[in-house]
Formats: sequence, C-alpha cells, structure tokens
Amino acid sequence: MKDLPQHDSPAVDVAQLVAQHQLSVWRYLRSWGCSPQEAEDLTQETFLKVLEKPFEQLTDAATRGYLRTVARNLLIDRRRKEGRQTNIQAVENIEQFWVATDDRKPDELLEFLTECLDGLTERARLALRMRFQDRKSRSEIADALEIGDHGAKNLMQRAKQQLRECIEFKLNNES
Amino acid sequence: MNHEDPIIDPLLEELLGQQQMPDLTARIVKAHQQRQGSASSAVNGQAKAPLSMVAAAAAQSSSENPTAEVPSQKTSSAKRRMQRQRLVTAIGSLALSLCLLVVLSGVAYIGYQQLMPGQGTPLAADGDKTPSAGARDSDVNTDKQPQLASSDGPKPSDVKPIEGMNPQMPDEIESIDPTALVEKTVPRFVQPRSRDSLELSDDQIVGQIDEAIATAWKAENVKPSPAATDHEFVRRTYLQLLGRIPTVDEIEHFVGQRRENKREWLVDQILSGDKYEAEFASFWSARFANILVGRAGGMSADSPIDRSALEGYLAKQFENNTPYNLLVQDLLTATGTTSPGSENFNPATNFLVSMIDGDAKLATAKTCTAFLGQQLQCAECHNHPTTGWSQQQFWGLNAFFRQTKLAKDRQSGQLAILDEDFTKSRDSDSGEVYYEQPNGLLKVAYPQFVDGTTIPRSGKVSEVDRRQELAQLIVNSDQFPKATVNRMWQHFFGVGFTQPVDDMGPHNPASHPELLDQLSEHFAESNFDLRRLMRWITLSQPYGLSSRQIDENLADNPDAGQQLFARYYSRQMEAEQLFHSLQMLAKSSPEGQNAIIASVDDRHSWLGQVNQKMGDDEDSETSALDGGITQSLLMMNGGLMKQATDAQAAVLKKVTASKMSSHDKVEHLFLAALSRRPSKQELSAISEILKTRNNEAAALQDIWWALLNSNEFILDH
Repeated sequence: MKDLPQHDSPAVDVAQLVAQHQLSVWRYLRSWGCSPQEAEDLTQETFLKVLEKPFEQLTDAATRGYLRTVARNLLIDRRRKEGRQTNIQAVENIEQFWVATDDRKPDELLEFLTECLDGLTERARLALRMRFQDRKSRSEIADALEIGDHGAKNLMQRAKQQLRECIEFKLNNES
Repeated sequence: MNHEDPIIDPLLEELLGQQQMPDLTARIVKAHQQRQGSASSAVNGQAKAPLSMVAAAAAQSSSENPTAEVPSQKTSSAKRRMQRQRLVTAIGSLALSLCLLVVLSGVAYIGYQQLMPGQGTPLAADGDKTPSAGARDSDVNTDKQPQLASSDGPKPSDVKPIEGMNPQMPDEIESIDPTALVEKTVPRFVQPRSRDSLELSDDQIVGQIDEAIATAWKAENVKPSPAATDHEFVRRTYLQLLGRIPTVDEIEHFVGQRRENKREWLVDQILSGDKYEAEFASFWSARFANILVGRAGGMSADSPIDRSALEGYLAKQFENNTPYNLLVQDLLTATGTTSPGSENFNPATNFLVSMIDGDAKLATAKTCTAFLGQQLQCAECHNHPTTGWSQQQFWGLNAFFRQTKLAKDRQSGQLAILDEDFTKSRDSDSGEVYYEQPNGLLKVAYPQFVDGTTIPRSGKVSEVDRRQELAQLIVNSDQFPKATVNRMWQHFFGVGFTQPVDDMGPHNPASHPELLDQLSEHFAESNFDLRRLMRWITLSQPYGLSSRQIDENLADNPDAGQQLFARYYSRQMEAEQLFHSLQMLAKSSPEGQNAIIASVDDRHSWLGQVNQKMGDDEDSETSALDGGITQSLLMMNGGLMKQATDAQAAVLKKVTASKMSSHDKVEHLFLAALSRRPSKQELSAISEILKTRNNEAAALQDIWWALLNSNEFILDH
C-alpha cells in the first residue's frame, strides 16, 4: 500500500489558509443559495474537512478549486439529508464565474461591483439600494419610482444583468 | 430574500445590505485544534488518522520490521522482544481499525438520523466529525450537532427502563453500546409521499373558499353581514397575524391607501415584508408552542421544558418559512438536550421532553391531537364507544415512542432525549407493548399507525427507527394537512370546521367538508407553506366580513354547532395578544423598528400567572382570562395595565406632550386603543369630562385607562 505523502508536504498554516480563502468559500456557498449563517457553518465544515487529511498547497487557484469542490459536496450532502431541493439554474456559469476569480483577492470583487454600480443609471442604482440597503419590498420600490411592480422587477433584473456582465468583463480583462 | 441572480444578489447583499461574513479564522482554528485533540486522546495519545492511513501505517510497520531483523547480532531475547512488539503492533492496529470503524459508523448514523433544517452543521456520511462514542470524556469538540453517545457503559439490554421516573430528576444519561451504533444505518420503511405541486393561483384558491362558504349560506338561507370597515380589518389582521393591535401610524397608513386591493397589500406587507419578519416569527412561535406544550408548559421553574429554547427554535422555523411537514418531522424525531450549554443541544426536543415519562402515553395522545386533530387518549384504557378508536390503535401508536428515552446529559446535567433499543426479551428483537383490557386480559401491540399501516416489529434502533417512521407516516397522511388547515382556520375565525379542532372524525363531521378537503390538498401541494395558507384565509370574503350580526344570518350560530362564517365571530383577545398589545402601548419602540417585540422573559412571567397546569393525567390547563373576577382585577389593577396607563407610557406620553388639539388627542387615544375614531356621542361626553377637569393630562390619563378597560379593547372583532 502506498504511503501518503504526508511527510513530504510542509505543515499547513491553518490560520493563514483560512484567512486567505474563507471569504471565497463563503461567497461561493452564498451563490449556491445558502443563507449567511448557513454559509458560515459550511465554510467552517469545509476547512475542517480539508484539514482532516494531509493537504498540500500548490497554487492559490488549485486550493480554491479544491475548497469549492469540498464545500459543494458538503452542501449537497446536507441538502440530501434535509430532503430539500435547491434549484439553481446554469450551474456551469456559477462555476465559471468563481474560476475566473481564482487569481484575485476577495476584496477586488467588491471593488469591481462598486465600480460597476457607478456605471448604472441613477434609477437602477436607486432601485438596487432600496432593495438591498433599505430592504424595501418590490412594491415600495415601484411606488417610489412611480412605476408598476413589473417595471420595478424588470429594472432590477436588467441592472443585475449589467452588473454581472460588467464584473465578468473586468475579471477577464483587467489585470 | 430569494436570489434572482445567484452571484450578484448575494454580492449586493454583502456590499449594500451589510450581510458580511465575520472573520471565521479563530473559530475554525479552534475547532480544528479541538478535533485533533479529541482524536488524539481517543487513541492513547496517537493522532487520529483516517482509516486508510491506519492501514497504510500498519502495512508500513510490517514492511519495515523485517529490515530491522536482518542484523545477525540480534540475540534470541531481542528477537523474542521484537516478535512480541510485532504481535502487539498487529493487535493494536487491528483493534484501532475496529474501534474507528465502530465510531465512524456511529457518527454517520447520528448524522443521518438527526439532520433536519436549521440545526447546526451536518455530519458528512463518511464521518468527518469527532466520534460521538468514547471521545467525550476529554475535550469538548465544537460540533453543534446533537450527539448522544458517551463512553463505555452498560449494554442497552442491561439498562433499566425509566418507567415512572420523575422528569425533574432523571437518571444519568445512559451510554449506548458501540456495537449498537455500528449497525445504525437504519433503513427507511415509509417513504416520503410525492404530491403534485400546486397549480392554482392564490386568487383561485381564495375564490374557492368564497364559493364554498357562499354555497353553504345559500343552502341555509342566510345572508352575510356587510364587509368590515377598514379600521376593523386592519385591527383584526394585526391581531391575527402579529398578535397585537396596530399602531396609530399603521392604521392611518393602511386606511389612507388608495389602491384597490389594499387589503391584499396589507396582508402581503405583514406576511412577506422584511419589516415584520421578527415580530411575525415571535408571535407564531408562541402560538405554536401553545399547541405543542400548552400555554403553561415550561412556565414554572420545575418544568422540564425549556420554553425559551423551544420558542426560539420555532421562531427560526417561521422566519425561514420551513415547510410545516419538515418542522413536525423535526419535532417528532429530535434527540439531544433541551437547553443550550451542551454540544448535544437540540431545542426541538422540548416538544416531547415532558411527555415521554410514563410509557410515553402523553406523547401518544399529544401527537395525535396536535398533528392529526384526533383525540385518542380515551382509548388508552378502553375502546371508545363513539369515535371508533380502539385500545389497539392507541397502544399501536404508543409503540412508536417506546425507543425514546428521557435521560440526563452526563456533561451538562441537562435533560435529554435519546433513542435506545426497546426489546422485551433476549431471544427476540421485537419490541412489543403490553396493555390491559378493561376485562383484565393482557394484550400485545406492535407499532401500527392509526390507519393500520405497520412497520417491521424490531425494537432495535439500528434496524427500525420507530419515531422516524412515525413522523413520516404522520406527514404522509391525509389527516395531517386537514388537521393543520382546521387549526389555522380556527385561529383566524375563532371557530374551526369542527369544534373542538382536535377532535375530528366521523363522530364530529366538519361544517364544510369539501372546503376542508380542498384547502388541505392545496396546503399539502403548496409544500405545507403556512404563510400561503394564512394568506388564503385572510383574503377570503368571510374573513373580511363585519362582526355585526344581521337578522338574515341569525341562523349562523357557532355556539350551537352551526358555523356558517356569515360574519366574523367577535371574541376575546387571547392572552398573548393582550400582552403584546398592552406592551406596545406601554413602551416606545426602539429607533428604526416599527414595533417593540416584548422580551420573552416578560411574556413568560406574565403568561405564567395567567395560565396554570391542572396537573391531571391529560395535561389540562386553566386560564385566568376567562372573563371572571381574576381577569377583571388583572385588567384594572395588574402591573401590565399599570405600565400601559402610566403617565410615562409611550402612547399616553406622546399624546399629552404633543401640541395636538384636545379633540385630536382624544381621537389619537381612541385609534391607539380601539383602532377607530370616537363617535360624536363619545366625543361630546369626553368634552364634558375635559371641561370639568383642570388638569388635561390627568383627565386624558383617566380616559385612556377607561378605554383600555373597556370591553371593546379586549375584543377581537
């Protein structure tokens, strides 16, 4: 039986590993529909699971990819046990998106988002702020912007689509 | 919040909504260290390694040893010592492998059995958690998951049954034999029922309700009362959905709406808006705790129930809008300790904790009334003469609870519920229950659901997890959604389709059987979504009717068992509604919040005075809010009323300190207390009072007291 390469790999600095990658794992889990608290729990589980066995860090991108795989499996495991179904569309796109962030610092993503928000129209920005900052309902936003419920929905959907495209463009083109 | 874009939505919540991740580094490092620590102490100081690594190490040691033996200088004693070492190493490796296999299987089983939504982190199926057996007497690990095994102890067959044990003074927690844990990959015999998904829109379902109720009106030749005024509607809707009367601002905001569907708008504001989420969850958690453990359950110091923990758990479920079937399954299958402070903490255990003692007879009866709306308790002693329930059915249902054991957690000293093998003899695994018929004949019962469905008879937890099966049988049954709909209908109308709501059956037919069937089916198809059920009911025509009876609907008389819902049945507020309403009038809401959420302790201490257990074998309760002298004294002189009518009380102080005219002040007080403006007659009487008094503030205080002590205030109409 082949011995595991545990003696060859240097001891992993757990604190550094966690500090460096926790936000990526947490965000990844959020994109799979986890609440912030659930994502916290699963992030912890992911690191503990990974640290159970000898673990060699090659590159940051490889480590993140590995962490994401473990996190996703833990989440699927959990959903299966709960008997809950989570419907997520276009899983490949989610994966591609996170792969594109692998060589970025976690903070960069929010910087990109802030920049992309500035590129939106005033109304779209206001609608998103009301929704996500002030936690207003869609009908309250519609009232404030003097448009219908569907108008508010479309406005926000389009804005989010623009944000997504903008961030993806920055991820792929800005060094 | 549902995410439209799986990536952008959470990022916006993070950036704009401040839903950020706290730094988990310290937490994870500590958990990692503790896991390592507990693993190493479990195997005599050696670091615990996955099974594959142990096997690899064993193989390595066997391949290394021959090279160590090669030198010919070795003496024969050295060789013997070497051989002994090899033997010890081989035995040690084998024992270690077996031990780990046992422990990992145990952990996998407990993870499988206990995983329900909202309860900490899961155990991965390959055992990524600290083993539960044999690893607890050293370090405490950080797992939140309830685990109930501890170190070596007596075998289940040696464990004395806890029959007759006082729930306040339980024994030490019993250890689970590791071999029992090994086999705990329990097969499931009852599979989840697949249901169609709901195809009708909410409007169509509301239309069905209106039509069914109107058909009954026509058949009985009654006419509905006119529609309730906006003031009446807003008051009752806040009372029913949030457990308190609306504030003046909320009333005016609603009444001032110009939209056509303003009632729908109001219901949606409360049910789906973030604004009321916490308040909604708090009220409904208390409401359901009443159903589960009674109003007095957990209110006294000697009660085994941790009511705060139970309500906290329920509130979380309501906040997440957990499907009701999953919530019930969670409550019925929970294991762990009842209070925080232990790694095995599982608040859902508070449902059963006071009912397991005494052969779980109370648990049997309560499960049946709470989730199936049927009263089986009489059949404990005799076949029921009118309902058709037999003793066999009671004890068949009771057998599902007999693996459940009440114990005390060795570490924290807290009460706990766990599952344990229930076998009556060493020769057979079947766990049967014996009961005595009225003629003295002893009979035997095996797990059998009330509809006659049976499961394998084995009492071994590793072969059949009886509570798991029971929970699935209950939520699969047609009676489960019916009982839930009936109970919810009663909440909103004061009267259910049957009276009482928990005594359904052929002996007590429903007033609108077809509507009950339809609604139950829709509720089940909506994935047991309680909020949608609430929405359908509150938007229906009968809910929006005035409570004033008219000559044409005198035949609508629920007291005589003829409920036609041709008017809204006015009734006294429930204790919780009264408490929350008075609290809201007494205290100012904190900045940024629309209403105060009373502290759980305050609520419990007040409700604890009002409700008391009668101490009988059916767990009955008595309430002081019965319209009698105690209620009058409580309302006139009680501490809560004193707070609400104090000169510094929120509403009163706001009014007296304001620059409003006397007329406006009086109007404000009427709106705050009664959710309506004063009539001309009332205004002229009050202006007379104000004229004769020098001190306006004191006069307003008296008027305020009178309003809160009026019959109208305490009425839900």
